[in-house]
Amino acid sequence: MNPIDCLSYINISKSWNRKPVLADINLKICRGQFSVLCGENGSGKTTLFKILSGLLRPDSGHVQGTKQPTPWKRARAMLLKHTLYMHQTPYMFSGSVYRNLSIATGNSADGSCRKQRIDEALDWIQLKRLSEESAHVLSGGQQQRVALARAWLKGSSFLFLDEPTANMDSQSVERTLNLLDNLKLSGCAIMICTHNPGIFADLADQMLMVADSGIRAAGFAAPSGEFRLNNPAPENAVV
Amino acid sequence: MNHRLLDTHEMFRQTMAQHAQDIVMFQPSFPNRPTTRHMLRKYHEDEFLPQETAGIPNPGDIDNDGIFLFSRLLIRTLESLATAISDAFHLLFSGDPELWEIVGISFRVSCTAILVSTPVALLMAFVLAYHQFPGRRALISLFNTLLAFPAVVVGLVVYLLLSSHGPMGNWKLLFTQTAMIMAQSLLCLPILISMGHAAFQAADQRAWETARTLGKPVAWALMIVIREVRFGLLAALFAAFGRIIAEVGASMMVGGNILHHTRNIPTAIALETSKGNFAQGIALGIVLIILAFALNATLQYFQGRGRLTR
Repeated sequence: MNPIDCLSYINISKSWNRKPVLADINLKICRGQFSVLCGENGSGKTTLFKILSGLLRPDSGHVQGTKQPTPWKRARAMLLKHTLYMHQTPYMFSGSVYRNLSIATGNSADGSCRKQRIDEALDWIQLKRLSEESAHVLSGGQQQRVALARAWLKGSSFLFLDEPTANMDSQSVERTLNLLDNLKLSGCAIMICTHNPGIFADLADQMLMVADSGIRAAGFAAPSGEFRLNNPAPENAVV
Repeated sequence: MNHRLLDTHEMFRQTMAQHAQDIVMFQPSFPNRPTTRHMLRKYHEDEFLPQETAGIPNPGDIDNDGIFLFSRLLIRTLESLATAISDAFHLLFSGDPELWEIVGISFRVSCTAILVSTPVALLMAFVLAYHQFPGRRALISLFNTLLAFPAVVVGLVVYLLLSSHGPMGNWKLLFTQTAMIMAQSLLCLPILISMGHAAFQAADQRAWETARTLGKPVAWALMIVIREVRFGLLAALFAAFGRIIAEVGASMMVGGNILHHTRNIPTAIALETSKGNFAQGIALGIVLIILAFALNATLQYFQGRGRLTR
């Protein structure tokens, strides 16, 4: 997989039933960067994440990886290869936890190498004892960890996580934060959408806000471990 | 081609001979139209009824002759049915080569038809469930309507396509197993698409999105989603197979019911019944019922397992 250091999204627009949800979004994401995305319900956060990860086609827009800006249609394969979108409630495929992880491993990996990587992932999420259990019977927090392990196994450089700590107890939140910290240190760009940005204040480098079909820088992490809000926030700024 | 013509001729001759015999058998022996009382008296006088009924009072003494006649006929019917079933089991377990050849042809044709149409149908069902395009709803309605399409009409369409003056007449496929496979494929396509579409639509959209975002190519992601909805698809597959294995109209029209070539279970049952050879018809019917039970039991088994592992 050729490394891409930064992904730039240029003039991304999307409408649902002729109602604009996202209008001329410009965004640049670089590896090692941890961003927190906030916004009201229905403001278009999930739509934006699905577009950024190549799952949803925008009405217009270009994407720039290593080369010149390319239309979304041609950039889609690149996005699906290098990015990963994680649902708020991650989908668990039928079968065991091990099978869920094996789906995420590369196609070319041979048997023993693949098994070793899956074992490492199970160790990392501390679910080795449940590897043969059905993934459907896991708790929400455990499923979230399996999903993060899948992201790690895929080796994506850019992760878009939709409310990864929603409906979790404090212990599970702490464990998830540790995993995210590991991923950040390994050089992944992580963007998280949440209604509770304070949880990620220690990890986050910047906070973005989706509002009025646009995106703007809403704040930055202060050394005190809290977000400091921009005031006044620049409208529709290139981040 | 000659053997087919000869066979068809033989079939026609046998059927006509049987009909002629039936007509003679049911000629009334009374100068006037026979009444119930006349018929009962005749049965009694000719000792047509079995000996064990001798203890039953004279039919003339019974007030309601109709009920008496009905009970006699019912006994006779049950007796003949029991004999036919007993003969049918004898045929089945004695390994009658003709019977098992018919079963083999039926399975070969229907399994090939399912194998041909399933990939196409699954792809169409998936596209209808996961992609938005103009005319999608109209297509779904069309396939749902085709569920009720009569088999004989499908047979007629394929017949017209394959007849010597039809667009595919040069292929000379009429009255072959290939023609039957074509007709049966067309018959099971709407079932597979409609039920497959319902199964895909009931599936969680996140399954497809997760497979794609994990970097799987479209074909691989499709296989993953198919595995997720396998129980619904299996039900569609069995329903489609059930329809075509028991279908008589289209197979008769495009296959011609030629012994050793295109005679399958339903067409053979139709023929044997018209000839009065109920034993073979029932034996073939038993094969179909056992098959239906086996398919349903398999589906139940897998669905049960699926639920337990969730």
